[in-house]
Amino acid sequence: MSEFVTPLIVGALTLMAWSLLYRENVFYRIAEVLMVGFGMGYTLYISLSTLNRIWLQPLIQGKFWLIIPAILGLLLYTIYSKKYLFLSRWAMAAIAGAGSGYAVSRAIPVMIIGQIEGLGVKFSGLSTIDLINHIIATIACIATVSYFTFTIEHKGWIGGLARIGRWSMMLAFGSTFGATLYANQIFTIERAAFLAKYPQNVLLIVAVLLVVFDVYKRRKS
Amino acid sequence: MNGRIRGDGMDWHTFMSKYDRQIIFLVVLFLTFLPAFRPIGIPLPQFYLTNKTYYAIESLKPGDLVLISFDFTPGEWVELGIAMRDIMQHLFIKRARIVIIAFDPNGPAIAHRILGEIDLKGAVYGTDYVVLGYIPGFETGMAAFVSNPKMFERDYYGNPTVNMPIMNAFNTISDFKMYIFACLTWVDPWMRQFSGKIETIIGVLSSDIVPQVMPYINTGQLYSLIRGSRGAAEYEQLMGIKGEATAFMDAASLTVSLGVILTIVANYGYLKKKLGGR
Repeated sequence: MSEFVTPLIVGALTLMAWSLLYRENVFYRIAEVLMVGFGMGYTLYISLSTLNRIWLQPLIQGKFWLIIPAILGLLLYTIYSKKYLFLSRWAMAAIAGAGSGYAVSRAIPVMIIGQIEGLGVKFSGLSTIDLINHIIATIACIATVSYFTFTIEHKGWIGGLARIGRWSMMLAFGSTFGATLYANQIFTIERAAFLAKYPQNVLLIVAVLLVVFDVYKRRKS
Repeated sequence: MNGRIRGDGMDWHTFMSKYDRQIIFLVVLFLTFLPAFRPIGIPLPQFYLTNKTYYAIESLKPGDLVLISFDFTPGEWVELGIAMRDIMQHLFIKRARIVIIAFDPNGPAIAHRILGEIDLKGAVYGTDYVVLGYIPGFETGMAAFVSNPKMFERDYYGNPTVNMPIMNAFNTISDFKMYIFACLTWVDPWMRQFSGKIETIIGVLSSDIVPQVMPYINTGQLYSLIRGSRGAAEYEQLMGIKGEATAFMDAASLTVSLGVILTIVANYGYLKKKLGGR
């Protein structure tokens, strides 16, 4: 039974969401609210069950130091009180401090030193094409950095270099845009392949008929 | 190309710029549904990084420890989930020991779904694989896990991990032979926390962020990657299966070709308008 009903519900929700392509309507609104509601509900469930697993259970078993992060977490809610607002900043400072500390300390070896090391030309074992690619990447990197150098006016050779940097960025953004177009298309394709199957393809016919009926009705009125 | 297509004298690019949205929607819908009803079988060239990923997993020995993190939501299933399912299947075929974690709250449920869909090849839960669950805090959570991978006292299902044989197979993060993560966003946090700590790091990523991730590939910090559902289709070819991703590629090729054609048409119209205005 569920093998028949579940695809129908999923198919109906997909078509309700897609109905916005035709025009704003109540079916789209229902699908939107359901998605937000289910998403929030599920995230809340996962958050609470995780809290139970990694905080409450160990606390009951005697790890009393876990009270400290709990207090810091609760302090975040003082943001709603003008009198105790300052306490929420302590919690924020702890979160931001730990986050930045972990990120920055690892960013230097990985994102700065690691990337600069990668810029160095390793002639051994490189094919001609790889070498050309490497040289282009190095020039593009230096040119892009020079584009964001604002302490020197972009005139003369630095202006030329900055222009190459701008072209490099445009090429990179174009490539990213093309890939984004592709990635987004695949979501539609998966839904289309799903809707083409029985029994949900029946809903597709119903949806088309509903749109045709609405167009006819609106033209008449 | 310059022929007039309407009785009121409107030429084709004026017509296109006036009704572009509706026309594009209709054509995309047609091209999307067409292969679903009638597969075309457009050839699919292999991306070198898909091969690299495949052979990295193929070279694993039975019992090698692999860490996997599912860091995406169900909405991104088609782009990342299918590739992860194919890779998981390959890992079970190779009899690797798999430890599953997640830095996204939705990750464990996706892992649970995949484990229910693939052939586990007789792998035993707790001995050959384990789902440890969600680690909150994102990058702070990653750092915590890297410093102590045995941080979990209970798994995703609430079972104590202390008696699980797989949990005794590792003490530090470098005990893992390979780390595979799947995410739809910028990979910097994963690279910052895991790079240099695990021998081989592989990303299962959305196609749109691949160009931005290539610097990590070039430096070797990221060993290889799978680019979304396209990568999944290529991976299925290497595994010799005709899976879900392969079925989507006809429609993907058609719609991307449409995107290229529309870009050329739009630029031609724009340039013509610009030059004509001088």
